[in-house]
Amino acid sequence: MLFSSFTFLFQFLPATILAFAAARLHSPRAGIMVLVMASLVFYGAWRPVYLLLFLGSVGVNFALGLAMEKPERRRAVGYCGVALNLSVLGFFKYANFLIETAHDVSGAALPHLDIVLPLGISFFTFQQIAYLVDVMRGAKVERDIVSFTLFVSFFPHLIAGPLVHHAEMIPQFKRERLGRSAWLAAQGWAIFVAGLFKKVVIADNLAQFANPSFAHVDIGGSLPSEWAWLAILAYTLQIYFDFSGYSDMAIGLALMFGIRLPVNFRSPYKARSIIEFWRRWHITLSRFLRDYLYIPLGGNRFGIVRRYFNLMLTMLLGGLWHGAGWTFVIWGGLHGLYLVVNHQWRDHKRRWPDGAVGRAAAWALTFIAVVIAWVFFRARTMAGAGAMLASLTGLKTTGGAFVSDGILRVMDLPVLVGEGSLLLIGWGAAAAALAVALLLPNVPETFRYREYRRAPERRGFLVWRPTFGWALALALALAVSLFGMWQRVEFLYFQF
Amino acid sequence: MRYQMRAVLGTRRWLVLTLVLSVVVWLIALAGLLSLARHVHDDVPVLLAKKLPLLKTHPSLIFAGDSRTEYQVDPVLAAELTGRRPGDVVNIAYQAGEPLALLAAVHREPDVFRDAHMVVSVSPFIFNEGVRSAAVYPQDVAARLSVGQQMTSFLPLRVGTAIRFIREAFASRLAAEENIADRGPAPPALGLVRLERVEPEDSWPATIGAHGHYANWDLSGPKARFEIGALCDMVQLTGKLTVVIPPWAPRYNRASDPTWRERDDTYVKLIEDAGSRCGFEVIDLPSIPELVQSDYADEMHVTAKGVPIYTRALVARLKQ
Repeated sequence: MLFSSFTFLFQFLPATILAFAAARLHSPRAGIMVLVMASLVFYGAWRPVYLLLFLGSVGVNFALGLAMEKPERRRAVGYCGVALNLSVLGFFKYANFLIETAHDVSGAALPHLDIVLPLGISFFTFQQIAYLVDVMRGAKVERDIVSFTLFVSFFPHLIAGPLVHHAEMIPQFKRERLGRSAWLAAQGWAIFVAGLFKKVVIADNLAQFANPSFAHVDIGGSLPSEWAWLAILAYTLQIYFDFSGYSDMAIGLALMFGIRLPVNFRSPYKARSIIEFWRRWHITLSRFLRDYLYIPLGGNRFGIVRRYFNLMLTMLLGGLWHGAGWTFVIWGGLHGLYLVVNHQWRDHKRRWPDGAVGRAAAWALTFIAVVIAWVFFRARTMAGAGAMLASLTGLKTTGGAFVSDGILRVMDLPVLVGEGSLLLIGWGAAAAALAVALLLPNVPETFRYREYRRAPERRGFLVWRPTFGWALALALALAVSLFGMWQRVEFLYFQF
Repeated sequence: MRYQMRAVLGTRRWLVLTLVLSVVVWLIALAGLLSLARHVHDDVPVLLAKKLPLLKTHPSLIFAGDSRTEYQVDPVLAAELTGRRPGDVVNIAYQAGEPLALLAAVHREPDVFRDAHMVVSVSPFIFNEGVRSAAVYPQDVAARLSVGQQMTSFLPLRVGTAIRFIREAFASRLAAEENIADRGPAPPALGLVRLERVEPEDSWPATIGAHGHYANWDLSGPKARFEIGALCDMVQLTGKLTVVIPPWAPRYNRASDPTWRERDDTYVKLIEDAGSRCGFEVIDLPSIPELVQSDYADEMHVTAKGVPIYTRALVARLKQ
């Protein structure tokens, strides 16, 4: 069930809100029970059989937590639990990747396993691994199965994050009051609509300028450089508006129930260094990789070489987390390399010239580096990534030439405009989306969102208030988004 | 405390205001889109346009209409049975096909149809105003309704029909501008599509009287008016026009289903009256004895096994 589907918006969500409101009249605990049931229905609606796997994962990790209460066996049980979680994730996500790699290396005929990747497995597995590791480190064991289940299964973050931490979720479920619900519901609804608009109107309409070009290079074709640059710029913006839109929707939905999720994006394309980029992009994943991979590997405690090695390894594994393929590994490796260079630059106290030119140069270099890395993230094959890079530099390749169908799809409504006009419109759309990403405050800033036990986001020049003007703006955004919802384009991060 | 209470009430009012405004803005936007869709709509839908390349051979026998021709009439066998050469008989029927679209195709290529015998299958949903579901509502009828009529007909429960009309309108305009009726490849098997899979038992309706095609029975609306008008208009533009009313699966018994019998009689009478008034032939096939229950994929379509049986029975009636 997609957040941007009619079933979710007009059936599941109203039913859950009404049931939650009714249950909360009885007690906060009843409200939490309703959220657990709704979350399991939400997950089961995809493939009921995988609900069993999900419940098994939650049950086993909860039991492992209880078994870790005795200090003498805490580490042994913890390590077994982490290994078990990684094994399940490895089987579903990486078995075929390993088989194909072994086949490529050895030439041996190995069978392809017919495995369907359970929705959100990367997210719910990592959240539970973090829980087990924290208990190993001495955190309190959760003894309430309902709260633990909701921490893992809460439907706004279940499928594609934000990656939540048990210490920021479970205490919220145990509060006697769930905040000023009318205010939070209004703020949550506004954030949800903003996210829906970003996903359905901006991201889904940009997809048409990226998908055909990448499909073409993936089958061995080549692109004129103007189409290649349009494709990668469109994808750069599509993935940002898609994923950050999803995260905004998740935050808004959770807020409607009085629950605060962590912020996942803070205008990443405004970053003027790669270090800053990773503090703004998929923040909850960066936090997880830092706390549960980079620091346990030694972080920056064992000298510069070891620090850079740890950075590279963290980013390589971060790349592999996104998908079982060498293109994702290279994407992670590139970002690891960028980070190493960025840290070197900083360690040697080098600085860009002060003033607007220096800031613009720093931004441009960072942005181009991120854009080039997205080539590997988006291409289905290494050859496709190579062909796209060659096309970006204007090099001729042997593949077939690209011929656009010249059809513009406005909210999936096709209009024949011709190849030249489509290219111009594409560049215009990409420029407009980039302007939105760079010039407007992000959604958490605009809505003065506050994470659990944190100060509100810093104030931008645009601040939401429950006024008529904002009501009209959100009504327009929702109305336009509803027309875009007939496209039924999946969220890009569902595949991870 | 008083300030807090005021803030909460204000926020609640704001939420309600936002939802109300959303509905208003959405309705205005829908009206605008419907108006635009009426403007860009082309009466030849994509599904029919994709079949029109079959007409390049100037066939003398053209089977057309809805899915009960698309899935059931084999043009190769029909050519053999009528002593025509292969390619001289084609099947341009498509799902939920309507006479208005055929009339548009006839106007588009008048020479092709002038001397041809056109055999058009029809189904109750094309004429019954009570059927408003998105999947089968005739798009060319929707295009002839004003925006106000469209909104009052389809909102709120049949909003999907309005949305489908908008999408199909843009798709039909694109098909027209890309000229796929001339430039596209001819579909395989001269237009016949075979159904291989039999629907599971629980998806078969209990009775035909309660079938969606006969729901809210009303033959007095714009559907019947426009579609009957299209059939009448085609008489002068084709060599010969025959309208076929195909049978339902034999497990259903008209005699024990008074609702079906009564509604079907009025529907058949509507077609037959129009036939005698406008001059087209009507072939009513309430049953075909050779077709048995196991030949049916669902309540109204035969499987690939039933195609030759249906084709033979239909051609035999055409020859009479």
